[in-house]
Amino acid sequence: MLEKFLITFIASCILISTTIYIWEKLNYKNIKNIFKNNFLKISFVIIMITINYMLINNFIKTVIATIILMFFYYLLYREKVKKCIITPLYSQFIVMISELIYIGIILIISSVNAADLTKIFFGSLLTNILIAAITFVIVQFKFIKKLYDFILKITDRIKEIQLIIISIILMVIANILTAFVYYQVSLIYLLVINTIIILTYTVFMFLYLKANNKYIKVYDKYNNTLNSLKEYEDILSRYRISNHENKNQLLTIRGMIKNKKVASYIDEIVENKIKDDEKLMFESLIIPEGGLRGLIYSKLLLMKENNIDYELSIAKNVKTTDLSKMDDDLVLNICNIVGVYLDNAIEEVKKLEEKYIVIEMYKDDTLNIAITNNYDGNIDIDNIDNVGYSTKGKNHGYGLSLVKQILNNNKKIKNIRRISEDEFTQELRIRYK
Amino acid sequence: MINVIICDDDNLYRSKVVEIINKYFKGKKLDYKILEFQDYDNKFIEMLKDDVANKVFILDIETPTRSGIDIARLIRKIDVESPIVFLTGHEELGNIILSKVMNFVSFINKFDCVEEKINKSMDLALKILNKKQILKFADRGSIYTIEFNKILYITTDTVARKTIIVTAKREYKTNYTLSQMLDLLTNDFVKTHKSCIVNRSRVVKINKNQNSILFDNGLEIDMLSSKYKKEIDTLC
Repeated sequence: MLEKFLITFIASCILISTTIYIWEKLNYKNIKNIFKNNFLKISFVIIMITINYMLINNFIKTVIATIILMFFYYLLYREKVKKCIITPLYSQFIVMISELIYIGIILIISSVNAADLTKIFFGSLLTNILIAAITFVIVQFKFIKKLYDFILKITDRIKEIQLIIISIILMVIANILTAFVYYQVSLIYLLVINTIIILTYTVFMFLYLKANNKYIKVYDKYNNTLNSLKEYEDILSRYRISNHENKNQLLTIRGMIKNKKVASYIDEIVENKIKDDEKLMFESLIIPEGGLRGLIYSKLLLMKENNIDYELSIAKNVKTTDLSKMDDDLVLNICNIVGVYLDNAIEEVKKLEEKYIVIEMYKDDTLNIAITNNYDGNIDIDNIDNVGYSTKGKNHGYGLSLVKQILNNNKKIKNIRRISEDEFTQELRIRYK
Repeated sequence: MINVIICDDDNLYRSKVVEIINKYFKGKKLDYKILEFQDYDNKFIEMLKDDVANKVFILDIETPTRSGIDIARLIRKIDVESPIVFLTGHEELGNIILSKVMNFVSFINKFDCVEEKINKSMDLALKILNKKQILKFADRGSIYTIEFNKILYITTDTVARKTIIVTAKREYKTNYTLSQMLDLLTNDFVKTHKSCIVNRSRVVKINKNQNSILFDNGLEIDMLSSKYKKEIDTLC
């Protein structure tokens, strides 16, 4: 028993050291410090892996070991979930290749069965050391890092939940194959394990569909057609004219009335309601029409309802820009993105004591639209575009991931953020020429 | 040398402003130069690109070709610190929120105690010029501009592998290393620990026995290391 524990413990130490070496080689360069700075965490994981290999059933111990490594990766590096899944899987794959190479070498050099070699103490130790050495050699090849970077790149667009499902499927397949080949596992075990995996898969699918549903709702919210925005602008123009006429007619009537009470009531209507609406409509006239004007006007109304101070700063050379000369899809994308930015700005400032939003539009080599708002708390730039990330609560966090999708699919629009102590700015730069 | 850049399309009014500035600097015994422009034309834009230090802008809010705000935006793209003063003929004093966002010194009504207001604005502008004001850097697609005097200290998070800039209100996480940050900072910032740079001007007290530093907002950190004795001695 003691011998078995010793073998397993040393094997775990070698496995963990090799794995950390692979991770550091793939991502970072400071290999010395990682052991020094994380001694306790590494020791803890070695013990977990030892227990896993000593006590857990042969069929699922590899799966458990992989999951432990994923958590360990997160503990060590605090990276995003995707990297915490991909990197340990990749390192396990490299170790598996090393094992196969080792078995091949042993078979070629001697007639000794590699499995028999592990049954004796020093044989097992030697096996683990040799596999680690082969791994060390493999990882030196530049191709290994390039493949890793390539995998990270192609999985960048895959949602996390999809990646988890793919990983589970891969581990299930690997385990079924090894179970039949190496362990001759009984059918009952297979049945129980597969049932658990299917149940887990079902839960994940449910959560995935729930998240996707929220994403679709937000997508629909912003999926205006350009025609409806233009129609809205037409309605606004007509409303502005009719509002102005109403004001003049009311003032004419007021001039004819001798009853002071009625006259004062008319004054109130003109001052409070009509002038307010007129002011807002007049302000929005400086925004180029073609979709943006209608969108921004509706958001200005929202700001007014929420007592948010706002300013429109539209450069002279933008006022006369004809958006109808731009591609319809491009204009629609711009409207969708500006809509998200303005909604986010309104949501953010709504909860603050001092509330202000600035909308700027100006032209140099590009047409630029900037939305600035004051804010509270810290901004997590690494996660701000991720699905579900939000400072606003449970059912938020899909707008900016939608924006990210639009930006990824449209090379004519770029996004710059500016962060200062008091303000946060989202700026769009649009290549309109 | 202070470079005062004045732009106004009204020649008479512009001469008046030049006279006020000359009178202002007479009493100050400072080297200065006035650059006059009639409009925000190509000559003005070319001047912006010149590497001229210590600029103060006194700009007309509106000229025949462009608005002063548009020009200010262009200025701020290149230069986040130079003081900008606007001269306006409008009754209300301009874009209040935008001036906060873009850091203007003031809006001055051309027809209301203009000499007094220009003098006050110039006092403020010179104070701004005396000290390098703003830390500006780009990281992960975002441009950060943080006033130096707002920063308390800068430290590292070894787990997340980020450098964190701490102010009284917020924390900013960046991928810059501590030594890269040190290159961007002024002499007011000193290293007190291998993982910490502190803003001297915000330090109130240090306790060498407890290795702690107390800032003026009441925050206390324990980031003192005897390896940085020389720098620590300059703290208080």
